This record gives sequence, structure tokens and C-alpha cells, in this order.
Amino acid sequence: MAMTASHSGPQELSETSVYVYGVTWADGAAVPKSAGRDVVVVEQSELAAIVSPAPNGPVRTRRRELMRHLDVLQAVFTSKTVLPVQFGSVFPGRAVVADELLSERYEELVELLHQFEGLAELRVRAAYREEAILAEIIEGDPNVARLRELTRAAGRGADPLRVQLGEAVARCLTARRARDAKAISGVLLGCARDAVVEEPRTEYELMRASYLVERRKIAAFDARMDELARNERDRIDFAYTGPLPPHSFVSLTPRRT
Amino acid sequence: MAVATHGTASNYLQRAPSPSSLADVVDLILDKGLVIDAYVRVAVIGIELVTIDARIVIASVDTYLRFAEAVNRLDLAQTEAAGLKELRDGGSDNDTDTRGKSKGMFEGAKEAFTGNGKRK
Repeated sequence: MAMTASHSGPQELSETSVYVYGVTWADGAAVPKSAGRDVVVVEQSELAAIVSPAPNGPVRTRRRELMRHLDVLQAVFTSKTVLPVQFGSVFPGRAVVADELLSERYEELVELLHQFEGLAELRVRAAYREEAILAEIIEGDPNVARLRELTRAAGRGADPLRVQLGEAVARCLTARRARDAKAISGVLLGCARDAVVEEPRTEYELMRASYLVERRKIAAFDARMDELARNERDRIDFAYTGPLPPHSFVSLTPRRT
Repeated sequence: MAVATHGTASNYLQRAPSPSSLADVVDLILDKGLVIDAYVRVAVIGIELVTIDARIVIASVDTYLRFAEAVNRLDLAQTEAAGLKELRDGGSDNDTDTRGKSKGMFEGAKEAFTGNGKRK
């Protein structure tokens, strides 16, 4: 891109655009082979950016690109602290990465690397089993039970009642979701440094969250997850992933230039 | 990503090392990580992928009718399917269904339901 060439600093360095995956400590070591052949580091003082040559034009958001971003970071994370950079970040050359990222934000990045030393993200999703939660709601709410009997008896043509029934079910579900999510989070937070809770995405999902956990406490977190999943197995399905680099927890103060 | 095993007593829920489905990958990395604002172009084509699994729960008549339908068909399906399942599992020479046998009652019933187009 002609426009970016003027930003690119020293001419002796390659002007090829680079995709930046993340930032880690510079230790002279190569990026693990498992990260991919063209993945290299740009080092500046104590810091290293993990990069690979970027294609011209926008990076596409396809399975392949998303998986690669994830896999490269994961490969580095197995042996080092790494700060993930936003998916799709492309710099107009390695020199710009050194100057504008590693030098410009040096203090902040060093501080973040210290801050996330020995920490991992664990991701938890919980969803109700449809039959179990609906049975609970029918049993626990006389209004739902009554509307259900009415609509079943009336067959077709009971639409206004059906809407009322659905609305009542939705209300009960919201209440149960809030209660259960709070209880689950209460158990897990005891083992975590921090948590990011996201909005549930589907009707029966009750929780979607990431926990920042010390690596040495992962076994304890596992035990709590296991107990939760076992105790709730008739009504809640859990999905549990990690340890991952702290994707959900890193941030830089925005700076407009 | 959801892996619940029904094996040893000490390990009910398996932790997956990394997300496996595309929806989970998107969920984990999109709009996350350090945002570097200078000199950076951020790639965003093909972003429609991202919305595939993002069926945000919206309070609407459609949602209500879906819930109503789900509670209305509930116990009929449950008694029938669970009953059939039990009968089938009762036969000792039914070796096509060993997976169901190792699971609890509820699991078996749930498995029987999934053929009914329960999920949208």
C-alpha cells in the first residue's frame, strides 16, 4: 500500500505487511515450530512481537484464519506468557511493529506481561437441558402449569393463551438463570483472579464466562468444575476449555495518533 | 467443546485444551485482545460468519410460542420416549445400544429426544 510506505521507517527492513498475533518476552528463542513455518518474532529490547507475513488486502475472517490466530498464540503460550493482539491486526512492516508497538507502548506491555505471568484463561459455558428445565418450571410455577393445561386442552386456536404461557416460561427461565449463574460463578470465583461474564446467546444458555486462573490453581478449578457438573448433571450441560492465553482479559489504553 | 464423560468417578467433566467448533473459536477471539490503534488495519471481511451462532435471545412472540410449544409437548414425549428406551435397554441381547446403557436414565431419554428435531 503506497499510503503506508511513508510510515514504514528504516528502509533496510522489509516493507512487507505483517500480521501480529501477540506480544511476549524476547528471549532470543525461535517461535515454536508448532506455530507454523512462517511465524517469526520482531524483537525490541525485552519485548517480542509474534508475526507472519500478511497477505495484501484485508485478512479474511474464515475458519482457517481464525484457527491460525488461535493456534499460533496457543503454541507460544505453552512455554511463555503471551498477550494476544486483536484478531486481524496488520502492520505495514516489521519496523513499524518495533517502533509503534514495542517501543511506543513499552512500559505498558512490560507491565501487562508481568501482570499475566503464570495466569491462564479458562472458559466456561453452561446451558440448561431443555426437558429438565421445562419440567422444573412446570412443577415450580402454578401459573405455567395452569396455562399449559389450558392450551393443551384447547388445541389450535389458543394462540393468545400460548403467548401468555411462553411469556410465563420466559420469565421463570430468566429468574432461574440469574440464580443459577450467580451460584456457579460464586463457586468458581473462589479459585480465580478475575472473571468476564458475557450475555447468554441462546434460549437455554445460562452462562458464558471466562476466568483468569493461576496455572497452579487449575487443578483446583477443575475439581470445582467437576463437582458442579456432577451435581447439576440432570439439568445443566457444561463446556469447559483451557488453559488459554488471556484473550478476554488483556487491554491497552486507547490512544489516538 | 462440550465433553461430559460418564466413566471414572473422579473425572466427570473433561476440560478441552482449545475450542473445537468455529462458533467457539469466534467467541473466544473476536473483539478480544490488545487493540493497537496506530498504523493498523484490522481485517474484517467475511465477518458474517460470526453471526451464525449469535442467536441473541430476544423477547418476542416467536420466542414465547416456541417455549409454549416446548412445554406443551414435554411430558408426552418424555413418558413415551423414556418408556420405549427402557424397554429396549431391558433386552440383554440388544448390542446396538450399549452406549445408551452406560448412561443414566435421563441421558437415555434425552438421547431419544434428539431425533425429534428438538433443536432449531
